Amino acid sequence: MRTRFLFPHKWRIAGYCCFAALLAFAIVLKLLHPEGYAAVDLHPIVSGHLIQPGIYKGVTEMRFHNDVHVLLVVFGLVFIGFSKEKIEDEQISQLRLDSLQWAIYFNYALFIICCLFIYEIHFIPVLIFNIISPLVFFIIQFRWKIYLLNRQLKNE
Amino acid sequence: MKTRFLFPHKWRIVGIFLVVVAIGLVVYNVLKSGGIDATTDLIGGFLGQPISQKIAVVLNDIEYSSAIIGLLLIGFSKEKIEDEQIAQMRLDSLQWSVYVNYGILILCVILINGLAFFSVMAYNLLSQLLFFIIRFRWKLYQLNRLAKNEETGPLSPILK
Repeated sequence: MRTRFLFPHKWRIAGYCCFAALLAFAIVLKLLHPEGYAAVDLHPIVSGHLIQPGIYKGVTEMRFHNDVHVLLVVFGLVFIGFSKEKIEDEQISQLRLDSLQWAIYFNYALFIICCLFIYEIHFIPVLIFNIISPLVFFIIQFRWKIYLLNRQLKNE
Repeated sequence: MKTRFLFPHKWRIVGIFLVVVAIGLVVYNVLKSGGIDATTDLIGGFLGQPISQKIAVVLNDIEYSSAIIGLLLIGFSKEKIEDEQIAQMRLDSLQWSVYVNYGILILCVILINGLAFFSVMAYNLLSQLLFFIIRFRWKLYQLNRLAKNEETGPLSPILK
């Protein structure tokens, strides 16, 4: 009764590297474009005008950067959450899957609350965070459970 | 080594009912070509809206909530006979659905840009539960077929 489809243990370092790369990328972007991109991109779309040739380069660049950001975050979280522990026994795999189920429950409960209290344009950030929140909740719960287990073992 | 936090078996009927309600609301919105009017002024907040807009907002909330709660109940209610194999299959399917969901999401991130990505995020809400339910049911179906073949297999005329 093992969990299948897990990454090797060392890939967790790759996950942390993804976040380091993300941080470096963000710093470089901030240095190159201190004023940010939002003013460039959203205005022509919201006002319904065609994108002017001058702005177009900035928009393409921003889309590429967005892709890189999301990919790094998702790959990083998946690697951290789903790489094997050093000693992957039955109890750990059970903890992992329990945490995953708990994270799904928690995420949807939170989402329903957001759904009831937030609407219209404010709902968009909820949608954006909802992409990565299940993985974040899963990782936090799993690490917490492992910490509790280790403390219990030490006490014994 | 059982799966904890599961709903009782009978709640699956409630889940199916809620999903039907959600689908009904979607059909109603499409036929009425209604839904939330995004162009109305929002400065007044919810209470300042005209009554039709209030109804649309509440209907939208009910639509989302009932779809999610319904899918959760369908996916996470106990089977009639909940043994270790089924619990393992459920959690395997859950993990598989996380992988598939994020795989598709990554493809969408690369291929879809701009405002069209909002619909990806909207579908992303429900897709994970849908993949999980489909995969879990499929595995159960395979298991049942295997069990049936083992029972009747040796007696079937072809094998004789």
